[in-house]
Amino acid sequence: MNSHQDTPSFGIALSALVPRLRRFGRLLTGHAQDADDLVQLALERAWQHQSRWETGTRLDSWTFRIMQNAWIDEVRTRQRQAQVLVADDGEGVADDKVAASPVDAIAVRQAVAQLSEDHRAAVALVLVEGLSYKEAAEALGIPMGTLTSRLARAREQLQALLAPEEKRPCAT
Amino acid sequence: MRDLNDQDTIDDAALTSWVDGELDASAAARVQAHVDAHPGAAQRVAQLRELNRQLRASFAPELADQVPPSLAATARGEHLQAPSTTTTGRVIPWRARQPAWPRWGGLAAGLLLAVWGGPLLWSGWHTEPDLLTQADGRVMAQGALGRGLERNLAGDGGQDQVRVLLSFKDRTGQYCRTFSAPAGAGLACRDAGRWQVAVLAARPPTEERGLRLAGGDLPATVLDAVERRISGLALDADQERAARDAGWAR
Repeated sequence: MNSHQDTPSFGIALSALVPRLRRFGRLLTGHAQDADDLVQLALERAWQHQSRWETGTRLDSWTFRIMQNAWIDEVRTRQRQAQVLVADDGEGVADDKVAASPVDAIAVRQAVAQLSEDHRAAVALVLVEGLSYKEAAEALGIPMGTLTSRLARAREQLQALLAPEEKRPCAT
Repeated sequence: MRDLNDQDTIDDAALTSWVDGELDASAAARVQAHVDAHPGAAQRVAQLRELNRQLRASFAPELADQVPPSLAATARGEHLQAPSTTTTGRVIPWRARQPAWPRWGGLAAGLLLAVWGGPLLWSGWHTEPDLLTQADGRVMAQGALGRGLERNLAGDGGQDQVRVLLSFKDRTGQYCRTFSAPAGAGLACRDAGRWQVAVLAARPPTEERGLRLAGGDLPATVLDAVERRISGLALDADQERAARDAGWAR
């Protein structure tokens, strides 16, 4: 278990992960500053438990799991989401098929924000961060069947929210 | 283990696993054959791939955000203290993490300053004071930025000018618009006849670093601000034109 990972390379590897950790944190918490708080805590814990990380295994999965646990254990108990990203119910998406235009990106992010926290975490790890089902299940501490079931339900919901036929103009 | 021997019984879960790259080579080959033979399955696969693509693309801007120095230091193992027993709700306010901006730093309450990837480059906005003015502790658009926000429709404006990217109504009914200028991007909302700048993100000198985002993209900080404010969807072209022609009246 203990890999005697050398500290400089652990720090370098951890540093390279920070942008992804922040993105995962934003997806998890729905708030940029909450996300950074969570990343800060996760980084501290990663260093604290450095010896538990096995060299050769994925540091990203390991750190995502620390973040997930930190979110469950501590942050959520003290601080309800100050602001969920989306309050508007039933909004569709704007123009489809345009790669990452601001309008599209906002619609997708709004749709993701409407997912339950569990579903959002599954989407974040597999579909945004690119972890395998197995890695994501381990990071979230759930059986793989649970993960795939959450992913399937999340996809259904996202597709319903983003379906072009639901597109409608903004009420003015 | 999923039985993928019968191509005709391949279900949605198998298609999804295939799209996600979760199948071994032989199972993937069977799904591929099924998809090739069934237009409905092919359509479903295209739908799944499009959703995956949208998700990746929509959250890509986050990776270009500059990492706050405090997080970078912690990641490197510097300044580590005893593990936190209590975390803070808002531990690291953005402004506390950024160096003072010579002209505007500390002046504009409520203005979120952010850096759009790369090194800090407040000079981008700092060297364009004609675009911004400060009044009553708020930053207001003026000059070309003020005119652009007031008159331009999304997409108007040349490369070296102010471009408006997105217009929407916020939850109070104010019109808000995101914009891009040579110095960076931001969000402004119309209040009492003027455009108050709510978010400014400086554009880093990244063309040579290969980090510059596509022209239509907005930094994550601005997208976040839009998400927090937007009511409904962004205005389409007709709605935007009508709003402009009506003087952005609520």
